Amino acid sequence: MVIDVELRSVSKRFGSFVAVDNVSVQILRGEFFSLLGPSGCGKTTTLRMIAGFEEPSEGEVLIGGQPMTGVPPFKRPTNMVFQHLALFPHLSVEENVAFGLKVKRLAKQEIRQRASKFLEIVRLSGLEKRKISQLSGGQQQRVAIARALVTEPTVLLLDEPLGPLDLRLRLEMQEELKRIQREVGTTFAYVTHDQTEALSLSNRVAVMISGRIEQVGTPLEVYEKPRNDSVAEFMGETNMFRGRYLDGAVEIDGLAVRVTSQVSNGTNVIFSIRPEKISIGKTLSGPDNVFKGTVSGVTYRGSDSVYDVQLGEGIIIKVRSPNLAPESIYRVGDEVFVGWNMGKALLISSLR
Amino acid sequence: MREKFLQFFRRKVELRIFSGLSFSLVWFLLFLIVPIAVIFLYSFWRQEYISIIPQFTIDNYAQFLANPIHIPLFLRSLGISAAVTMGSIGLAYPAAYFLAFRVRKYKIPLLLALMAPFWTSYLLIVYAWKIILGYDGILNSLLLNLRLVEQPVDLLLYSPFAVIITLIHIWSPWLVLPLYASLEKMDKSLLEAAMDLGATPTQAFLRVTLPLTWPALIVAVLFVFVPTVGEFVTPALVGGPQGYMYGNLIENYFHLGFNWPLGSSLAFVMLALVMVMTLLLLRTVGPDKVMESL
Repeated sequence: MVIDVELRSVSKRFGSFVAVDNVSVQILRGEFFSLLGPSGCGKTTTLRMIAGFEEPSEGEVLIGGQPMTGVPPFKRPTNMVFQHLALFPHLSVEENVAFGLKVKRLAKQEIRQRASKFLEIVRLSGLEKRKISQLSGGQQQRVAIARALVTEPTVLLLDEPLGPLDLRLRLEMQEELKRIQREVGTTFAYVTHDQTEALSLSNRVAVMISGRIEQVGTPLEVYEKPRNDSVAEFMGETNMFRGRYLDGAVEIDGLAVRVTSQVSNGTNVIFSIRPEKISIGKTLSGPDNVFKGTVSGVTYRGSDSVYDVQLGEGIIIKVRSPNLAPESIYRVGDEVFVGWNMGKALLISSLR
Repeated sequence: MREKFLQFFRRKVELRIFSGLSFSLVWFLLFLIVPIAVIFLYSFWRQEYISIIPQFTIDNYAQFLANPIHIPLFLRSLGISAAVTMGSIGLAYPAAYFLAFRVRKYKIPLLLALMAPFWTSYLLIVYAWKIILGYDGILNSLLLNLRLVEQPVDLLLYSPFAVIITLIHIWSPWLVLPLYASLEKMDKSLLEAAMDLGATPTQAFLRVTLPLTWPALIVAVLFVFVPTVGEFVTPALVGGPQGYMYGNLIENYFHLGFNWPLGSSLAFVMLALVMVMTLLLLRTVGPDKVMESL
C-alpha cells in the first residue's frame, strides 16, 4: 500500500483556539478518503494544511513521502476543488481547465489535448467556449473538478463541493464523483459534514469531532461499530441510554436489556441501538429483547416512518420501520411491542 | 384634464424616470452640451479684430495643421499626460492592493489618508512643489547638504518633470478609490485557486488579479488621462518653456492672442481625439464591465 498523504501529530491553533488537535492519519493511493465531521470540527483546516494554505502549528504533513513544511501551495502536488468552486470568471470553461497547464508553461498543443481529455472525462465536451456564468451549478462543479484534475495531482482535495447543490443534483454529482474517481484513479480526500454522502462515496471515512479524529474505518465500520458516543451520534440517528451492566444485561431506568458484550459487573455503560434495527408490531415474538410500549410520536417520511415509543416510565426509544402498507402505520396512543436481537445493540464508551 | 394627465404620467415609467432625471439633464445640457456646441460653432467662424463673424470657414482647422507648433505641443501634452497616468497608477495600484489584501484593521482611515491630497487645494499642491523643487528649494538644500551636488540643480523646477510630478500628486488619489473598490470586491479565493493550480504569486497576479481589475484600471486611466491632456494651470506655474502644454496654447489663443475661433478649433481637435481614445479604451473592456467597476 502506497501512502499518498500522511499527517503526523498535526495540530493547528488560531490564537488560543485549537482547530486541529494532534491529528495523525494516512491516506492511501487511489482511495476515496472522507473527512467527516460537523461544521467547525477542523476538517477544512486539515484539508487546507494538506494544500499548503495553512501551516501546522505542530506536526508534519507528508505528501508522497516528502515533508511539506515550508512548501508553498503552488509547489505542492495537490489540487483543490473549493467549497465555492473559485472558478475564474474572466476565463472560458476551457481556459479555466487549462490554467494549471498554462502556468506550468506546457506546449500549446499538449495543453489543448489534456484540457479536452479532462473536459471529456467530466462530460463537458462542447462547452469549451462558454463563460462560467453561462453554466448551471452542476456544470460549474464539473469545470472545477476538471480544472483540479488536469495537472494530475498526487491527491485531489475536495472541500464540500456539493454543498450548494439541491438534493437531486447532489445525488447525481455523487455518482459522477465516484465514476470520475474510478476513471482517473487519483486519490481523493473529501471533506463533508453529510454522513450519507461520506458513507456512500468513500473507501474509508475519518470521523472528526472538535479537532480530533475519533475514528477511521470503512463506512461499514464507522456506522456499525462507532468507537464512542460522539461518533455514534454523528453517524446518523441512534438511541443512546446510560445504564449499568449486570450479568449479561444492562439496566436502564428499571428495564433490563440483554446484551452480548461482556464487561465487568457494575460498570457504567452507554447502550446504543439504531432505530432501523428495532422491530415494531402489534405482536412480536422472536427477538431476544421484547418490550411493550405506547406510540408517543409519529414522523411520516414516505418510504418509512419514525416512531417514538415510550417504554415504561422514562424511556422513549426511536424506531424506524418501512411503510409496507398504509394500514400498517401506527398512530399516537397505539399499544405496540418493540424488540431486537442482542447482537444488534452496542455498548460503547463515552467521550464526555 | 389634470386628473387624466396625472394618470398618463403615472403609467408611463419612462416618462417618470425622465422627469426624475430632468434636473440633471437640463444641467448637463446648459453647462456641458451648449458650451461645447458653442465652441464647435466658433471653430468654424472667423474673427476680425475684436468681432467674431459668423461666417462658415475651415480656415481655423487649416491653421491648426499649418502652424508647426500645434501638433508637437499636442503630442507633448499626450506624452506628459501618459506619464502622469502611468505614474499615478504606479503609486495608486500598489497602495490600493496593499489596502485591499494586506491591511485588516483601520482600512477606512487609511483609505481616507491616501485620499487626503484630493481635499487639498489644487494650487496649494502646485505651490508646495514649487517650494520643494525650486532653486533654493527643499530638495536642492538636501542634495547640497548631503554633498551630492556642488551647486543647486536648476533642472528640477520649470521642466516637464516638475509638471509630471505635481500632476501625479494631484491625480493619484483619484485612482485609489476605484482601484481599491475593484480589488476589495475580488474574490480572494480565486488567488488561492490560482496558487493551488501551480501559479506563483506573480503569475497569479498577472493571470487573475490584473485581468479582473482591468475594467477599473481603464476607468482609472480615463479619470487621470482625460483631464490632464488639457491641463494648463500646473504647466503655467511649474512647467517653464519645456513644460508648456497644449492647454496653455489654447488658453493663450483665448486670452492673449484673442483669437477665439482658432482657440476653439484647437480645443475641438483635442476634445475629438480624446473622445475617440476614450471610446477605444472603453471598447476593450465593454460598457457592462465598466459600469460594474464603478
